[in-house]
Amino acid sequence: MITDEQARGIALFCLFTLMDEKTALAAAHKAVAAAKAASPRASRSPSDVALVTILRKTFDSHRKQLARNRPIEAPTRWSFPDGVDVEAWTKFHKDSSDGEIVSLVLAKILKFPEEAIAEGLGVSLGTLKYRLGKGMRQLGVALGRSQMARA
Amino acid sequence: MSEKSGGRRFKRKLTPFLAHQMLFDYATDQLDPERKTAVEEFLETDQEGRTILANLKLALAYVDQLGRTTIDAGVLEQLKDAESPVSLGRRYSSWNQWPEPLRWSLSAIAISCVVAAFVALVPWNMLGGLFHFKSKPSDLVQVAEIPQNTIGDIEAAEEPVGSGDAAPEDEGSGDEEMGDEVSGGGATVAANTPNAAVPAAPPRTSPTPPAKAPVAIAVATPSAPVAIAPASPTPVATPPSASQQQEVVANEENSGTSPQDGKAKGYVYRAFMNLANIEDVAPQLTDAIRGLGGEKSGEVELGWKRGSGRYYHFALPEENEKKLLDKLQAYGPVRISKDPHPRVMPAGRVRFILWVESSQ
Repeated sequence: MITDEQARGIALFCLFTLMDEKTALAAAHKAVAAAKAASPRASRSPSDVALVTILRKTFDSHRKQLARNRPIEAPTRWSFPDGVDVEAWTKFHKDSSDGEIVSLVLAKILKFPEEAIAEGLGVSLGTLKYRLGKGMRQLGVALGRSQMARA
Repeated sequence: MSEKSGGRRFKRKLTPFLAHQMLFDYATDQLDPERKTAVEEFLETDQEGRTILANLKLALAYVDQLGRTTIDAGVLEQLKDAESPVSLGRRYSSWNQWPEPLRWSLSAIAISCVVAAFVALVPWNMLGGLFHFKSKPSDLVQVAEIPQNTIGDIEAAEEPVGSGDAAPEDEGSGDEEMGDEVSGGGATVAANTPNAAVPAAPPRTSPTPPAKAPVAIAVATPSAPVAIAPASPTPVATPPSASQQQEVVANEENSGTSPQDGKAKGYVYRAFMNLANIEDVAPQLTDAIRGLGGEKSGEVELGWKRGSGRYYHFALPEENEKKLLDKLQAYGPVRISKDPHPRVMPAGRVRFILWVESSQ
């Protein structure tokens, strides 16, 4: 069984990591189906670690379908909060590695526990923290530049 | 951050690289107090550090905002319905998760299969015969031992040599195959030597009832096929073995379903009597048979004498069958078997082969 919150988290992960609406929807469908299959029982939800593992595999399989420097279009079926600078995320997406993007989305946007993320990604907690720090600095730089450009 | 050595306290100064690496932990308040103080002291003198920290705080606020992104409700519903073969398998692995109509249908199919298998596997013929035998006793179910080889020898001897000019096929004894079959068990029958028969071994007889003996009718089960020696001048009749004399109880329905002779649609009555005063009784039996409309079948006359016995092969109107049995019982015990035979008699007529043996 998949809760609404888990389905929403899967959809957001696919959108923020893949940054392509069509691919993100297809990936989210597969991830939800895989999460249902990974549930220990039909009436129970998958664990955080299992969900992180599924999301990583989903990202890995769909990331290959997308060109690195493709033009990114704003999604239409996702509604960003007011005042959110999507350009900064797009810049961050181009400048950062896949590991940093995935770690940042899982830890800072979807708020998964760091231990579960590290186990699900198959990395140490230190590696995860390093990726998070580096990714946040890059995102901050992108945001700062965006603010300067607007000013 | 501090280290005591010889009573003096040294402060470790952060390098710019270390300080910049710690800024994220500082921003998220994950540093211990001493490191936090060191970072703050570093930031007082480092403009780049302050810029990075400001950007990190922007980024933290930014990701918090991104986390509040909403998704179209239709997309979420589609996502929740997403299934894979594995998830479907898990979903329907439990019987309780199956749709109720499907469960009822499968239950009905399973019950139908069980009933069909039961009907197909139970040997109804055997059960039917068993129940019929028990529930509807017939007057033709008594068991008797019939010395089939004796009668078979005589019937075989009755056949004419080189029967090409013999009676028409319909008028012959019609007992050739049956004589072979009933004599079975390794006996060799000389089918073409009517006068060369060796007196057969005396049949075993049951104790004679005092007055009107009961009629014992048995249906002999054809035994194994017998090798026939057509050129043998003298038939050798072996005594009937136990298997040859097996007592088979059956009714008329079962008599026509011999597994060995699928073409045996007709039947013949084989009767046997053991009388002391055969010389006196034989002519009376002949008259009685003729009086009831009996006509000889085969080549020999009614009451043909062979050895110490008499041979009667005749056809009789079916309605006189009971009268004949009554007359025969007046002379002594009669044992009758109703044997399957490929020759079918005309409607209303039955065929008898009666052998009367002298008990003296």
